[in-house]
Amino acid sequence: MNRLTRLIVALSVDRPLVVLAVLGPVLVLAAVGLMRIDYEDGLRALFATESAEFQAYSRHARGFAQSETDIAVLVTAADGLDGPALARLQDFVLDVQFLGGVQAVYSAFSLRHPTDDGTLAPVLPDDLTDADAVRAGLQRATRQSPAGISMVSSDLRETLVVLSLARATSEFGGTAGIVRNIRDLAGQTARQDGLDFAVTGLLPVRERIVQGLRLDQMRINLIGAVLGFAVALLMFRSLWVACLNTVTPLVALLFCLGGFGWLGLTINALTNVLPVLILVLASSDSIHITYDIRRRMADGQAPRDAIADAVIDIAPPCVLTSLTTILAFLSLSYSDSPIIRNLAYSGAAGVLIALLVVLVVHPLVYALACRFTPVLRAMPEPASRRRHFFSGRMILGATARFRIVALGGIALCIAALLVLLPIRTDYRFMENIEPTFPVARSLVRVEAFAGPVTAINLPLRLVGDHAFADPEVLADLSRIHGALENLPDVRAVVSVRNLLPLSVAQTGESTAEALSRTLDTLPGRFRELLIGDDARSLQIMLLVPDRGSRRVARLVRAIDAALVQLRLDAVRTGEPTGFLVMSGALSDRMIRQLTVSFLFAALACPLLIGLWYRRFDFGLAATIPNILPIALVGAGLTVMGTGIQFTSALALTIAFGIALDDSIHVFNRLHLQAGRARTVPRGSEVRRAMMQVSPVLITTTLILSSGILATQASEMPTIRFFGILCIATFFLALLCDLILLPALVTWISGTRGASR
Amino acid sequence: MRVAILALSAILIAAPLHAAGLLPSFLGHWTGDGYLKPPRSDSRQKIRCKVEGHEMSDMQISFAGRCATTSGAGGFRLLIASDASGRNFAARASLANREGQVAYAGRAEENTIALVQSEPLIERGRTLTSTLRLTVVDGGDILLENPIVDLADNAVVQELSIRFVRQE
Repeated sequence: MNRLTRLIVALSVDRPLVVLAVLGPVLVLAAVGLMRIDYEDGLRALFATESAEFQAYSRHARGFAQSETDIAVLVTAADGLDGPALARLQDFVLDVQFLGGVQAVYSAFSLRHPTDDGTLAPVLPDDLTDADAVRAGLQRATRQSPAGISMVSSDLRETLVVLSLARATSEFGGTAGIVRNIRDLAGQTARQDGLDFAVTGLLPVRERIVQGLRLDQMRINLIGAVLGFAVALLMFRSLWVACLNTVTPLVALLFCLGGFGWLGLTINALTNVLPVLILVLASSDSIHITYDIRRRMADGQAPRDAIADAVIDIAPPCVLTSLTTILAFLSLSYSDSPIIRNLAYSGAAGVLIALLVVLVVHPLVYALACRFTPVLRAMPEPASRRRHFFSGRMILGATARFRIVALGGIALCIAALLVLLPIRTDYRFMENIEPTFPVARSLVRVEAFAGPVTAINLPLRLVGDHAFADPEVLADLSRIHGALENLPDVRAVVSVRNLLPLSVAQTGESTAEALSRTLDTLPGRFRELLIGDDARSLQIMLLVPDRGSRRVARLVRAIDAALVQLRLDAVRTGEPTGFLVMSGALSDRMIRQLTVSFLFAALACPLLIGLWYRRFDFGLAATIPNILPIALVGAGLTVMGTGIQFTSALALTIAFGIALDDSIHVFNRLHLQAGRARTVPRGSEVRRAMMQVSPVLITTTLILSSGILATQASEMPTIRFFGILCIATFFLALLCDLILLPALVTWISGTRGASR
Repeated sequence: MRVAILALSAILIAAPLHAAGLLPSFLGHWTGDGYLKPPRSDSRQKIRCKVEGHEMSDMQISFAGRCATTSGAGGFRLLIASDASGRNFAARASLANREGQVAYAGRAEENTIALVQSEPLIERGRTLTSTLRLTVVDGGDILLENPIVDLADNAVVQELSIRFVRQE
């Protein structure tokens, strides 16, 4: 370590122009890499694992169309739908089918009703100038359609057009352009008449999330940089120093994003938060080094020596704090999810790059800047401004009653863990988007009158030679409908049986033939949704709102229980599947895996601290004060009923790695105090160390928290939540480090001292 | 090749309209609006098509594109060929999502190519046939009519009529 820091000093401080010459081209490369960064929501890839649930979902999705890939267009006529409005809507319905990727359309015009002679007639008249017929048709269209949804709102102001995309283009990548084209066409149609078109559905939501990610990267990082500058200005009260201190974090950010670009790593819903974390961590380390340089220069050291000595002294804790953060990130690689593993490796790589940049670039910046007189004048920190932010009364109390405080902390930690465990997980697709966004609001409006757009799919296999329209099959379907229709949250059960009311047998025609004829008459999408490609399998869709994975899991159990009691002759039921079921089951497992990741980090990081300082007592003392904040935040979420979501599980694990920084500064001070003798610190020494280091702890927490505060500018509620959880954890960790850590160190050291 | 067709067109313009001269009239991009009256239905559905006509050889053109109704959409392709006399025509129609082709044969009458299905189609016990009339109307628009008739009672079971307007 010492050799490494001396090498950095030899290069950055003594040969700044050489280092600058090497860094120049690398900066250009990083800037080019930045341009190569790709964005994706990653919400589908989140679950793309080898798990049985995902494989079953994928297999099933290959055989049947999935309603989750449909795009809903909500059409509103302020004065109510009428003939002219429907004529415009009809034009839209025709034109939208010429857009690439749109495979099928389902609208009020697709609705049919049986006539007396057994044929099917459109619910809406072909003559749209007939006002009475139009009104009667619209009234009829407000009823639940065979697809389980209502196509017209009861006030006759809103109607729905459902667009199905070709299966090959349903994978994201290809759908963003299609959604854009649909929106453009809707805009053109809306301009021509008093209609309002809103494009929504899960694919447009995902497209909006990606759009938000791009905006976020600009907004959060800019605000993060400004906040970092503001904190530096507040700390150092010098414009020169604040400006110089901001250079390194920005270079670290550029290098990280450039590295992501060259390595092909994408910015997605999870990695969105990484750049600002890198910025904040680099800011924190830079401020520590700057603080030390200024202190040394104020004490009369020459700029070169002050910079070199500051790097030599501060580099080890910077390396250790980075290593604990890297460990916390790497612990996430235990997850089955490729996208979480991607976050783990990207995060670890990002922190490592930031560390290298801080160690090399920060001394270089000062080595170069101190050649200018205004900077040289601004650098030494006036002694009058050295302040103690902290009275120390809290520390005195904590170390005086160290046993009570330590035992109290341990008891509180156990109590919080008991509340938190067993972990109650929750996941909801829509948690990733702001509910006030038009695309989300429109989805709520669609679901309000049409019904849920999400479904639990129940695969069925025909037994023997049975065909889907056989009376025995239809009888079995009736039994299944009867068993599932009244389950909580189930708004509609949809199967080929729903087409029976439309299938009035004509003379000499069997029910089966009438049903087949009806299917031929309806849009082909019906067949794709309800009958498998091999014609030997069927799908029953239970339209249910997405009210979180816990409710979905409960409903799946209820479905299983209801099906077990049924005696079916012509069909065999499979396991319920679909995006809701798959994401619900896998999110639960993955969040639990993140708990294991956290446990690994919670054990590995203190061990690393112990090994780093070759002090077992340091490692042991670091455990409780850093687990307690996480346990408290987790318990709080559980008590509030929020449960542990992906965001919270990730935030708590990463925040744990970062929050350890404070403890490391304490141990570093104790270590420096003990010197080479490696004596066990006594209570008074702990107090002295704490008094010296407490301003640093408060500063670190303020720097980290103010930087993370930039996440509140994010468009994604999950990122904002991530930020809040991190900040809460940092402040709780600060309290624990100021109160519990000195008590524990005093206690453990006392025990060690006594045993010696 | 294009020069040859243009030259041929120029000669045909000078002469009384000859049937062979109808084929170049189909070249270019077209948008069509019309109606479809499906089998066993009294109501007519609006239909819209976007089509491109392009030359396959001296005496053969392709008229292909996509049509949409409020119930769904699909692609189609119509290959039309004339013989050396320019009076006799044959056509093959195919749908993108269905196997097989329907073959037509016929003659030109004035501005109309009138084609009759070569082989009747048997569907659910009924013997069906259709005619295909392509008329170049005033202003260069094309009117396509394609009724399907049940040969048992000569009843029209499906009607299709689309007027194509050339797109710039």
